[in-house]
Amino acid sequence: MPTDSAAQAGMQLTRQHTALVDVHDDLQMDVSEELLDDPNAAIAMALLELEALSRDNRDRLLQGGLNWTDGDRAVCDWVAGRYDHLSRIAYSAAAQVRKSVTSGAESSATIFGLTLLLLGHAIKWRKSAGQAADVTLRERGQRLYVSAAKRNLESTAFKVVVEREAIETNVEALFIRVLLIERFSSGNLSAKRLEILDTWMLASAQSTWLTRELREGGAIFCVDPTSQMRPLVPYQPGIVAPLYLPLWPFQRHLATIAHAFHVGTIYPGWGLGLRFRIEEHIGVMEFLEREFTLIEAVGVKKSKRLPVGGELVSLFTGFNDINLRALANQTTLTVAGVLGVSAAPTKFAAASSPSSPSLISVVNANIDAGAFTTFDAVQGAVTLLDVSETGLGLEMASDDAARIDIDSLVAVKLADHPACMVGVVVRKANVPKRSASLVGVKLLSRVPMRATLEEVNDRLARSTLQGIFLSGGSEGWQSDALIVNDAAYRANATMSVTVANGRFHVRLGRVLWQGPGWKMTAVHVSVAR
Amino acid sequence: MFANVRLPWLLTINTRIKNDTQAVQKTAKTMSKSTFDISAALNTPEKRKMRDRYIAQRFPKLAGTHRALTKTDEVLSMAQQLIEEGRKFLAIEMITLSLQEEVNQRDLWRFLIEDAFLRGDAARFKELIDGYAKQFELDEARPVIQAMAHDLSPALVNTQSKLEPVPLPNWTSISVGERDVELQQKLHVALETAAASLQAR
Repeated sequence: MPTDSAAQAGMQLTRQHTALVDVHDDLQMDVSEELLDDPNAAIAMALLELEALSRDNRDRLLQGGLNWTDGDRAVCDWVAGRYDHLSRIAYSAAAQVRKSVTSGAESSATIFGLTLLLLGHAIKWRKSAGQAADVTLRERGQRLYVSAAKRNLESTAFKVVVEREAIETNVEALFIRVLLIERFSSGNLSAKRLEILDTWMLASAQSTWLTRELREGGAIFCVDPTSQMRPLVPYQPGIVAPLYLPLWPFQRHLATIAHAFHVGTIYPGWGLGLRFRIEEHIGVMEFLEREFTLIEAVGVKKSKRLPVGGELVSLFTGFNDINLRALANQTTLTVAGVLGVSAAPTKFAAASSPSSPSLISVVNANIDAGAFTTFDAVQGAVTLLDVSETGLGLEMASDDAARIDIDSLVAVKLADHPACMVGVVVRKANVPKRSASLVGVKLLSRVPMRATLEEVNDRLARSTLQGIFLSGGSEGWQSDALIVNDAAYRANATMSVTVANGRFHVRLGRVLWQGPGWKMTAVHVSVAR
Repeated sequence: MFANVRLPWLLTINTRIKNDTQAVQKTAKTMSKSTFDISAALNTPEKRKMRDRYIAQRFPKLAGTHRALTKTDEVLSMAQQLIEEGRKFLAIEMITLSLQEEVNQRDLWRFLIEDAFLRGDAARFKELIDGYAKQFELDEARPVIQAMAHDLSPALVNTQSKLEPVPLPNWTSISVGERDVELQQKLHVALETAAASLQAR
């Protein structure tokens, strides 16, 4: 049973909540009837009152995490509803300013900014309350930004108070915050981490701005304030947008945030996030680093794909099949060509002569590899559709494609290529109206080389390990790697291997990539002769 | 009218002084002085504890953080791993933390200098070479750094004479412990030789 004092406190809180709702209703009426002399001050005060009354509840809700009661959920819904309601009132006030021709620049910018601030709060708290996203909130923000930009108010500085902290900001920074909060709210960021990220964005308004000109480099968003469906999309080469949001200033600002932790403080020194555990803040840093990398990866110009007219190719799948058959003639021991000794034409080279450009079928490849076993995974013809700097596009029967998983290791032999290439399946898609599938292969090496590694130890019987060496090429020794059978992989075992004219003692390092039945590892050389 | 309605709990809002805000403002001033000299900012046991917790969470592999951060080779080795994993930001942060613990780690300074050069970040480069010059007054790398500075922005170098271009010192290509650059390069050359041989058939 609650004590008398607890019951009294509860009743007082209920009275305060009711009073706040009344205040908002009065404010709404005053705004709609245009009775306010200073709508900015009235809305700013209403926001302060809402923050002050709900602070303890918001703090408790965010700290609570998964342990919410029904009462907690109701309170969270109430908070989300209040921010939503207040943002609508502010939007009405801003709409009056949009019609007015007499409003001053700073005053107009402030009401636009306050409304954008409230819209951001409303989006965030809808997510925290587990409510469905409401795109009309973001759309209102877009209309406000367009209106402010038409009046050249988007960069006008003004101050708003957030969580008892006066921050200098502008309409543009608050508009960007609305777009980013909506994007991050739709992901798997927890309410606690969203709160931390939001505080960082508000505190670093000077680190976000929109540009009309595109400067490639780093993570960039394309921003179209008039687009209802996709106002914020990662930049891709070829996309032309009215505005761009470069993220490098915020990326650089992350160093400032990290520095605050280096000196034992929590950035920015205010907000509900101050009471969260350090792990939550670090989680947000790691989330942002991942996001920046992903956004940047979208913007990296993909190598141009050249259609090649559908020639037949040989395809091998699985480590053992590739090692034994596809790479039967490609070993690390061969140095003939480089040393000036003409190598005898291989079966692959003979098969790829101009007289038989597309005869490298699955069957031929098996013969070339000295094996007449049936080809398990892919039984039908495989056609090369396109080639790029980094990959291949293949077409095969859907039944065959179904037997190959994403991340499967494959070897491909082209008719006019002297060596069999090794890659990883990175995408599959069905071809409409045909029982065929497109398979995208990321090339790991154009000249992979099989090698037999022998364990270095004091025993008489030394075990051997089959591997496929991938030279890092122009990227240097850091990118050299070895592919081994998943089951045979042993970290830290010292192995001896001959490559060209040299003998090396190597250890298998970190796993760089892996898929069904294979691992690609870094190679650590300890002895080279 | 709304303007006449005021709720009582508002009265205290603007009178609160926030210690944390002051601390961060102080941090900003310290930062402009030096990123690596944090002794003044780290002036309470609580802050030290917070920093340690941060490092332990951010770099879980750095066991016994204080000592681990002063082992230049280990820090560089870990940085290399992080870079290979595509987490350069984290690598740079770890090196910065290491220099905050022990500023006399020459190879870490050089790593950051070359990194700033490669990124074309003239402001950061200037900050770093000034700090490096202060820390290591007589240093054989000085001509190389001057040439890099001249290449990045001639205004950074206070000289009238023309500087000859020098090869990049490769301070960010780390040679530590089991990954000896010379040995790794030998394997790389052998692999390239074998690959070229196969292609030449």
